[in-house]
Amino acid sequence: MADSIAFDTSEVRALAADISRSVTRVAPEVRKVILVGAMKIKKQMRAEMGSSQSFRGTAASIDFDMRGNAFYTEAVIGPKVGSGEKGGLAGIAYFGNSRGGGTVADPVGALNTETPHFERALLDVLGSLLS
Amino acid sequence: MKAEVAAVKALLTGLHTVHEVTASGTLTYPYYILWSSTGNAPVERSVRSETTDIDDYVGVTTVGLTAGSVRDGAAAARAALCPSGLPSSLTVTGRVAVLTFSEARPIQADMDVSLVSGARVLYAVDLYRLVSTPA
Repeated sequence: MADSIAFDTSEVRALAADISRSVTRVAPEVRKVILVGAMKIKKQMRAEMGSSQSFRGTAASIDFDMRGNAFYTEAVIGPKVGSGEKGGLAGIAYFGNSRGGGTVADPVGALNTETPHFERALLDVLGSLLS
Repeated sequence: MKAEVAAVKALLTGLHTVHEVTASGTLTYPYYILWSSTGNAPVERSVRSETTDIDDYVGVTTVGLTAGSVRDGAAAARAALCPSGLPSSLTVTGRVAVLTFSEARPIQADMDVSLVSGARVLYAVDLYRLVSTPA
């Protein structure tokens, strides 16, 4: 009877290494998917803000920034505020003030519209890991 | 959406004055502004979903003269709409309507409104997700 147990993990390690390489390979593709999704969300948010008689001047301030490194990527989308920017009124457009509620569609609508397309594109990229 | 908003309004009535969409005239603080769209449909529909399905947000703006009164007013609204912080069923004939607290926006001063005393009016927005389907 054996007095010890040994596991051969060499294949697991090989698989892990292979996936690590694959992740590095797909990272630029994931970044592209996020970039396309962000552009579509920005376009819808600009259209919704632009259709407001009161806040159309704020539409051009809606933009996005891509952030990330080798391990993650994110897009931050919304009206730019601060010196020289015209996005300061967006808060009132979306959420109103003490005299009335928001009059421009909540950005979550644009996010929800894009989410199924984004998920599908991301799955396609991740599916390439297995092919 | 009309019936759902009316059900939300009924829950808030008795706490403070509830204005729909806009507040004007002589105002007594604190008060609520209840606002929403006319009712958006779910983004992803199942094959059996009805065209009358609603998946949207309802905004409750609490307006007061102090940050404390805004906090208290918002907390009272939240307790009435979603007791114990849990999703709640609205009483809407022929519909299954569920309201869930979603997001609280920061309390801020309304720089466009000042009282005779020079004080600023404060307000905060709470968003509630409303999902309503035929019963």
